[in-house]
Amino acid sequence: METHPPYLSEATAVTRSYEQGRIQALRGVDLKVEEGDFIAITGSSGSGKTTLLQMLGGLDSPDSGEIFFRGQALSGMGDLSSFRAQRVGFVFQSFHLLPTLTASENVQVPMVESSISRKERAPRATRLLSEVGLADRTHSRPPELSGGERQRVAIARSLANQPELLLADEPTGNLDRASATMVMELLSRIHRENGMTLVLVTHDPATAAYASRQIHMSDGMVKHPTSETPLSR
Amino acid sequence: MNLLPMVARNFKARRMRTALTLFGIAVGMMAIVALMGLSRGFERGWDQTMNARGTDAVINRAAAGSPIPAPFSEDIAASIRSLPGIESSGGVLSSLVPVGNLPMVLITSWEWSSYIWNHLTIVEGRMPQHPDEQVILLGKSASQALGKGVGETLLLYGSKFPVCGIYESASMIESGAILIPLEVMQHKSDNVGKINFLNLRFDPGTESSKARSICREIETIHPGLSASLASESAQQNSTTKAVRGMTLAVTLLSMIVGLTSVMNTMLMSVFERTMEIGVLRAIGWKASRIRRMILLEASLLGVAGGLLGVLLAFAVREILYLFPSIGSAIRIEIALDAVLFTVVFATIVGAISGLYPAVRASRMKPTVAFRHQ
Repeated sequence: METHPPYLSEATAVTRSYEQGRIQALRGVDLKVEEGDFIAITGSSGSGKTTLLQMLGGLDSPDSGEIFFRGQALSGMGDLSSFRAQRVGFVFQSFHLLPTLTASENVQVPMVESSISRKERAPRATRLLSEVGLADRTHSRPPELSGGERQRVAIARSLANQPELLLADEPTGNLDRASATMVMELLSRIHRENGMTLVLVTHDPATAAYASRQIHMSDGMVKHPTSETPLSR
Repeated sequence: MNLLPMVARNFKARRMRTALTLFGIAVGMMAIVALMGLSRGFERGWDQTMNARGTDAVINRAAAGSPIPAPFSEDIAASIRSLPGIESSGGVLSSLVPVGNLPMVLITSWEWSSYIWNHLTIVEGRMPQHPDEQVILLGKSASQALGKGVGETLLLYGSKFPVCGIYESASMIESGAILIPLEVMQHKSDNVGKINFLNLRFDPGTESSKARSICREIETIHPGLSASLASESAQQNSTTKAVRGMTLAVTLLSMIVGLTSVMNTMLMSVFERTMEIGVLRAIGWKASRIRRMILLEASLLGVAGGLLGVLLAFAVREILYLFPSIGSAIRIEIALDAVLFTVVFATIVGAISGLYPAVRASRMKPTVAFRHQ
């Protein structure tokens, strides 16, 4: 019998509750993410999609069940800082850039926890910002950038340490339609050209439509685990 | 990109709070530097005085509670000067009193025939002619501060004293003093037959061990008196002890003010940056790096506060010296060791203040930080 190689990321029977069990965020969720996947997790507010994303990224740990990364249980990794720094990239709805730093410095922030030498950091940040179309904004601070530009800086930051998995939580949630389209085009290009595995959470069908696979969550459970959608763009 | 620019930007982003915190620390540190300088200035002045006179040891009442110890009988002085090993002696009666527009001036009087007079240089006028002549000599600084010259009079102890001369002394304390013949001062201050210091000169070539044993002998014979070598007497002086006590108290106070001020600032900063710290943790910063960042911020506040405090101390000293009444009476000697002590002390206070906020920040879970939003 042929065995499947370890998934890039895998959640098995994951549960998570808050406020002493009063809020059941996840109720036994299973999810398998293969290398090169582009998955959109959809669902209404409180469906547990962000909690699941945080579990996959090692930001939170399950009450029961397990999260694996390339077959290795996150619970056995100890401090997950290195895992988050080296293997996962995060894009947040509110961008979460450091307002006092320039775009270039923001992109360099994760490199501090990598083996990238100090000398290499600035040129690397410039290159990443060029890739997201912000070559001319490297010295701008977040307050001087538009929402779309901030999210593109955040995307450049998420790629700083060449992660294996990119996790995006409502990446277009705070953007107007034009900026949202630009950001999703960018994420799609990164997925397509770099083979980056991408899992994003959204409640916006237009954003979800960019993914090759959609997973719908409701009440802490996966409802439609394998809804395939063609890569439309 | 490393921690230092990030920390610098955080300060810049919260300029007013950073400035107020720095000012709070700096004022405390300034007080420490100034008091240490005052103590050192007094010790130096005292040493100068003893050296200028050629005094080897000083006798005064033990456990004096004021800068000028209580007087004791000249008869005791007579018995001391008859001890073997003592070449000569000179009784001194001093007092600190307000004179003219100056709040505090040292009035000192010396035994008429003693060696103490020898080191003075009269730059104008003359010396008193006999032991009970009711005249005064002014030190050069005192003359300038009081605006009095030879031939003018000064009201002291309810009597008018003509100024018979102006003298120069290598001692800054003496230069700011008024000098009266001992007998005159004893009568005018109701201290007939009394002195409050006895200056001693040992036989030439007396070794310090021998000098110490003479001092011990004097203390044994006269239990109420303290005998100390001139080189150590400044440290035994009650003024020095009082300033040192004040310095210690101000140091402790500054420590408490600095600790609470920096800790408050850092806790506010950590609270305000909950999301920021959560993001740093989320993108892989280790808890130890977050701790280092907060500790670096707190320590830098301490260093900067310490340095600013030193600068303030220099500035305050120069401002104080603009007032003749202060400039002629005190010297604030800011030494390198006091500067280093203050800056290191402020840095340690800053670092300790940052410990709790640093630990709190490093324990922050990203998901909790995101919910804080």
